[in-house]
Amino acid sequence: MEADYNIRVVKYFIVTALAWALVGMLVGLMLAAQLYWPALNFDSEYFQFGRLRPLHTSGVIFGFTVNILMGTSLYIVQRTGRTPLFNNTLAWMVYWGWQLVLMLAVITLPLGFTTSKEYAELEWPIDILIAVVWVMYAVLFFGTVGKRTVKHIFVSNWFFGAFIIVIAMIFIVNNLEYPVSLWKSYSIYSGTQDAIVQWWWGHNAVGFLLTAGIIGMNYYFISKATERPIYSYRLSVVNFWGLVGFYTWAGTHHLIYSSVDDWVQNLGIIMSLLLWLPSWAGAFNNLMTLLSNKEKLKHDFVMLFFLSAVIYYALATLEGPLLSIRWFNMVAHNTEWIVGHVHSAALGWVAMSGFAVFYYFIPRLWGYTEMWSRRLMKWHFWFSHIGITLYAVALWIGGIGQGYMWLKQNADGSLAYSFVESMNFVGPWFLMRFIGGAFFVAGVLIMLYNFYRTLTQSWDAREPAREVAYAD
Amino acid sequence: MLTKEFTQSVWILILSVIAVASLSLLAWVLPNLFTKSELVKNSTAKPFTALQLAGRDIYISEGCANCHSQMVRPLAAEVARYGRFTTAEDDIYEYPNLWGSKRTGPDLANLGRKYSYQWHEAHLRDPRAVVPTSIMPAYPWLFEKRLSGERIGRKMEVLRSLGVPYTDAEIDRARLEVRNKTYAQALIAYLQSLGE
Repeated sequence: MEADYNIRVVKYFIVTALAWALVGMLVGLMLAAQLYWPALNFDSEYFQFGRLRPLHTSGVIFGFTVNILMGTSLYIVQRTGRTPLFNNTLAWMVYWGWQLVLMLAVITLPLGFTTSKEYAELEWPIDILIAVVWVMYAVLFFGTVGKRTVKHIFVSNWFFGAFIIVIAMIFIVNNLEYPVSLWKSYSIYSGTQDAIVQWWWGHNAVGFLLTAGIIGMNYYFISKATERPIYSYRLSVVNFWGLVGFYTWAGTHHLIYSSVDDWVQNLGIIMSLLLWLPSWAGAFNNLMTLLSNKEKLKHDFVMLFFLSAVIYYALATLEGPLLSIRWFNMVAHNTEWIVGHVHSAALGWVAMSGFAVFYYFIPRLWGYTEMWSRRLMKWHFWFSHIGITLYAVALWIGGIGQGYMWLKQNADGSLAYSFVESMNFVGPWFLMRFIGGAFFVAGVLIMLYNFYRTLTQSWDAREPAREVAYAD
Repeated sequence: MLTKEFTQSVWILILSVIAVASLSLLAWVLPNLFTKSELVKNSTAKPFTALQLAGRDIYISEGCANCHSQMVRPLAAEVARYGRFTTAEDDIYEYPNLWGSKRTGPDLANLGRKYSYQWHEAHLRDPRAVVPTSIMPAYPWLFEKRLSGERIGRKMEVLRSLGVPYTDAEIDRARLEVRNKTYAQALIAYLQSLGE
């Protein structure tokens, strides 16, 4: 039966995710450079910051993350359910459909076809295509879960299931729009209503795509890499229902001190604080799983990448609830601090998890057991850490300083600093952030070279008899 | 019981996730969608003119909201810097909201009439000519491209069906109002209307 598993489509998704990791992060690096050297906007309509930024966010979220989640979910659902995919044609339609979405994004965003809603910039025809592909993906995934030959649904699949369902719900509600022409529409909501719906989406794209999906992937691969079972089944249940239950409530912490009603803001604050619990339950569970094989953890870079990811996750989910408290939010909102917070999670948690999965999974998918060079993995590991640290520190200082300068008043109530003074203050920290980002992207290039060497090794290095990430 | 069953039935998994995740939709998303008529009653906001609307769409298309917020918070320092704080009634015609989430540049909610038309022209053409340490991109093409006015009527009709009270007369003359205007003229008309 294992011969019937569709591994080919999984390979396509994983390699595509790898390519998008590079493209998405390179665009991000370019944006960081533009903020320090504005000449790099090249006076070009298609390349200026405002047009390029959605390409970065879409590239890393929908290109890198969704491709890796689709690939790993379709692999894990076959393995843990001990059944081939529900329908192979559907699997290829999902793959090519999603790549079509991404190609259209690459073309339309630089042309300025955008709704301007954050992380939902794509215009209505692409939104419809996304919805169609997503429904096919849901049918494929749940269809395969439905025909599993084992009694229990493995924990990863609960998280993938929640990711698929909730993203569908919030995507459709947020993208209801009235078309004007092929590439122009207006949101059916206005003002505060639109903002509320927007952040119901915006925050849950983080919650279910960048969190629940990645957690699902990690529950399987951390256990595999550690060669031990998941530490606690009960904690994974707490983790799951805590996320599904609380996450969708927390979105309005993006709207604190806005013109949205206070009760809506306060609800978002309370729910954000409550989210701390399931987040750390999940982090603790994964941490304990990794620590259950300390011998291997000492020298295995796949496990070390996972360990780093879990630690960054724990830090980011501590910082997140803090930032939702009014006192912190007053200073942090609209500043670089928020960008730093997002990136300590996006680089530290999502990308590091992705790197760990790439390193574990790609050699095995092609029948190798090890990467070509451990030393290059080590370089990548430290480049990533240096990159994130520089990035986060730069934007903590830049962001907190900026927030302080904006709010600082003299005794007579006049403003202590002009806006330009606050920009001049942030300047050098933009440079440090760019250097941090450059380290991180350099790490990705090292990884790509290592994969190139791994996959072009002679046949002797393969162990064809060995199973691909052996079954549960 | 729940923990046992949702791990054994794909339907229970699907339905329980939909039910639990929808609670927030019912609790704070939907109720807020029904407050619109109350806001409209108390609002003094004016719909955008055809030219301002065309300018707003350029603002959207160029991605200005990535770096400029339009939401003045009710904090003393913020009001001192940016003027009157934003209320829910101000934004009833904002399809979609352009509040943004980041101030790489300053907030623009009350930008209108703060600077002259000539200042905006010079600033859009070359921001560093006006603010030496500015990191804003230059937008020279806005002075070359011109509006055809072909879609503006349709845009206003769509917005009318969503709740913006445009009259037939306004929609009829919209095309002539914007035709042959440069993108910069439209964008500046929009920027000068902010906070009115």
